[in-house]
Amino acid sequence: MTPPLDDAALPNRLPRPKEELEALKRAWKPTSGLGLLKEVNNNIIGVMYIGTALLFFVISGTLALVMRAQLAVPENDVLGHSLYNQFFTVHGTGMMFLFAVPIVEAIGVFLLPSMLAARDLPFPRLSAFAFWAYLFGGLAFFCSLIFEVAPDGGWFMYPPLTSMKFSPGINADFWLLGIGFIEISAIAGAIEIIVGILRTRPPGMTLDKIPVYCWSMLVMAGMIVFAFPAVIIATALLEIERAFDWPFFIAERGGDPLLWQHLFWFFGHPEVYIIFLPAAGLVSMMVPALAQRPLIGHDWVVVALVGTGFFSFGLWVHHMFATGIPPLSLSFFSAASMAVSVPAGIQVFAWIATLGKGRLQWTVATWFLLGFLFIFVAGGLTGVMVAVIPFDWQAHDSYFVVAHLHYVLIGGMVFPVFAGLYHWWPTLKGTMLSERLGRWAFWMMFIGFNVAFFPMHVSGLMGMPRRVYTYPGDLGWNALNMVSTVGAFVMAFGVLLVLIDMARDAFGRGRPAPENPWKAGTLEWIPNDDYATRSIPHVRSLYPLWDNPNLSREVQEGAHYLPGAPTRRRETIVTSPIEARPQYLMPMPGPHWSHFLAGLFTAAHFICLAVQLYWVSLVPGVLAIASVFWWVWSLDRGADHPPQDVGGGWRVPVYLQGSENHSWWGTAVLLLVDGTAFACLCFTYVFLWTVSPDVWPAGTDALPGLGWLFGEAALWVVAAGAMLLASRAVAGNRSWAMRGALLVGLLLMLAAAVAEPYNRIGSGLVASESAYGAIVYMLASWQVFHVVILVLMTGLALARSFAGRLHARRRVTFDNVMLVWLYTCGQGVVSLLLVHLFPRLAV
Amino acid sequence: MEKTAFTATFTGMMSAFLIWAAHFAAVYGINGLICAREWDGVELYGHPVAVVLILGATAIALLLAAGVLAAALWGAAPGRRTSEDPRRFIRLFTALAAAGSLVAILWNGLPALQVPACG
Repeated sequence: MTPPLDDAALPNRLPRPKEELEALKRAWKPTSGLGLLKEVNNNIIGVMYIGTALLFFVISGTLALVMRAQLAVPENDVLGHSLYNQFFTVHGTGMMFLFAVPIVEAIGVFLLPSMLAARDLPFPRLSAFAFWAYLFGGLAFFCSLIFEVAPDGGWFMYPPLTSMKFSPGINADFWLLGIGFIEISAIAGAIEIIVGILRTRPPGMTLDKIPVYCWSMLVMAGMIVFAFPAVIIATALLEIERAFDWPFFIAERGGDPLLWQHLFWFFGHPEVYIIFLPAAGLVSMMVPALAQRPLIGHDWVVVALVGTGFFSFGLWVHHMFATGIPPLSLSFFSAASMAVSVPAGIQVFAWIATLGKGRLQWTVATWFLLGFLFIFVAGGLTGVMVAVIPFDWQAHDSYFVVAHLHYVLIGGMVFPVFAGLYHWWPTLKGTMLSERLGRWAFWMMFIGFNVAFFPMHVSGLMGMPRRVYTYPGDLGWNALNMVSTVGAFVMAFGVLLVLIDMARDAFGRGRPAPENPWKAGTLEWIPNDDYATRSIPHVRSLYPLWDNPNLSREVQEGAHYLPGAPTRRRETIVTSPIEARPQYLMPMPGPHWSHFLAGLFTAAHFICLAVQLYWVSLVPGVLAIASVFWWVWSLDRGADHPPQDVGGGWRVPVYLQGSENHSWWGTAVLLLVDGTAFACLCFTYVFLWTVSPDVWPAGTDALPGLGWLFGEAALWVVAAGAMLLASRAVAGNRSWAMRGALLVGLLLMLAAAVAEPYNRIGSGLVASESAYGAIVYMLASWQVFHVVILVLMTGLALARSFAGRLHARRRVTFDNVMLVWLYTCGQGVVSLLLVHLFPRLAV
Repeated sequence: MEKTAFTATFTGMMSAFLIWAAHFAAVYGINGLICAREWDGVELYGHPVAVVLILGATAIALLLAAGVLAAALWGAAPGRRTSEDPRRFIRLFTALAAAGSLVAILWNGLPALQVPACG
């Protein structure tokens, strides 16, 4: 244990040897040309990710303009009703799933490492994989419009409209399979962000010194972990219903379309905050820089961010006020909807107070921030209005709601993102966007936005329903719609100006930026290169550059931690999650083809499924798995170097095993995702029983005997025991005992997973007959799916063992398999208890 | 402090919000089940069963959140922690979260006093 530095000391002595910087540059040298496809560096992936998200924003926005052209005058025929339905579905889906969430994650991938002074995020290949899967999947999704097979059920895809009976083509499948798999990429990003923020902070950045943006990203990523599994399960259930006729949402057989709404909105409402909170985090970073003073009420803002994240989960029925849910239940959600405005308000007051107390710099970002405050507050106020149940009943499914959601989302997210674009652009390549073009763009966007969307409040209150492709000319909506259309085009012109500004910069017309042009106080303003900052600074306050005016120079001269590449490869320091003390040196993977191919083949697999080429889909599926194997094979290198001196008296190992390893953390977060998905399935079981007890067995006669329960549970427990034995064998370097225990354990798990559906088939239960059968088989299938995953993971562990890459001093791969294994066994027992005991105990 | 388990510290910081979440799930679940099973006519201690159970759950949640608040304030007296100590932030975070959750739990439970359970 090394004591913390005193204020005067620098972690490393100056001057640094010349070859140190050269080694660092060599290790982080980027690839060029086609090699860009192999790249994993967050500076490159982040920029491509942001660019792709902006491309999808433009495509989705263009669809909106065509829709506005259609609605400009009554009884117009630019779009027929079928194509209009596809347009508004792809517009909403594109904006929510392919722009809003990806761009906040993309900005995080680009900005977080520099804000944390880490060399990169902890799983660079995972980021790169997430990006490529998103790019290929997103492009395919938009292409569905060209062939007129785009989904047409709205971005919320409510059944029964999207059930096989009413949507027999492949349109709905494009959404269910396409978007469902892209959400997996969002989860990959969330895991990366959580582990990155908690484990790759610079030494000294204790919890109280974490920048607000990082807190907001931590909350966002946590929300993705607990919200996205709900929509993934919902899409899986609907796709299975469509493909195999398992009636989860078909009321005649015990299903319930409201189940979709519960699962969808349990994701869908937090989604709004998943989008808003990172934007709020960006605002909380820009406001102090632009006002040249610390954020007032920093600690309160952090608690407000976390509180908003939690409370936003209590809002999902806020979207279901008109579905006949009991009044007291609605009141809980109405109360929560109002309560969530309090933490949001705390942030708004903190920003206004900071801006008011400081010496404001009038930059383009400042204008976008003021526009954001105006629009977001207005959207928040209409949010409180629709949280009042009787008002919601009046305004439900009208253009008032369209206006409200665009005020919240464009105000709460698009304006801060554009502010951030102008604010952080100089960190990209040291040039600045045009202040003049930026101001024009702002005013076009601000005026255009309000002209487009304010009239929708009025047209909504006058009774105009949303999602209509045209309307008669005698209802008094004509002028309002024409004004909205004009506003939309003005706003689009503003966006075009920003794109032109960016293109000017790309073609070398951007102004060179001075170092730290806004005189900000946080670490991302230290000049950096492909390897991030030359050395990793010791942090002593929330605004280290204000706290120590020499810090930037010290860091660039290599006076802080890890000024070189001591193991001659890419690496960063892993610190403890609370006090940020250096723990070990994490080797980071470099450029490789595997993650690119994995992303390409994963996208191809799901696209084949969507267009019903089921057998063909096996080819890219197998190739995707092979690519992942190739990807992970070179990881988990063990302690292949002796402990290294990183400065400040810290000599740290290059490898740590067990729960301190970053990949163990990644697996643990993944299991939280998995556990949430399983909880959603359990909720599905209980919900379907609540609404349709008549399809559940009335007595024990139709149920398998309790012997099945005890027998199968015993198999899971013994399988878990086999894994624990294997773990002990690894610790003792008894390879053959470990291999034997793993194989026996796998066989036991396979037996347990197969026994459940086998006994159900034997007892005459048919999945397609009722919702009861469907959910029982679904839970059993979920276990089978996990065992298949474990067969692959265990296969990898065994292969590594035979290759001499798994033993007592190099067992991170094994530990990760063990985590998933033990979780699966525990989940198996809980699942059995639910499906065997619940019908016996239920009243 | 370095040896403090992250999970315990982080769970402690989030405990009040978790209590709010558990309370929210409980009252929604209780009311949903009572209405689905048409038990809204049943009375407990002379009051509708939904009201009694929801107010009971609310009281328990309030007590738990108050306990978190008290624990967070314990030892946070002036002079005992320096402003540089990360424990100061952890305690402040926990206390603010607990205070916010107390209000939110009360706010969520109050409708049970005036809105009919199942209409």
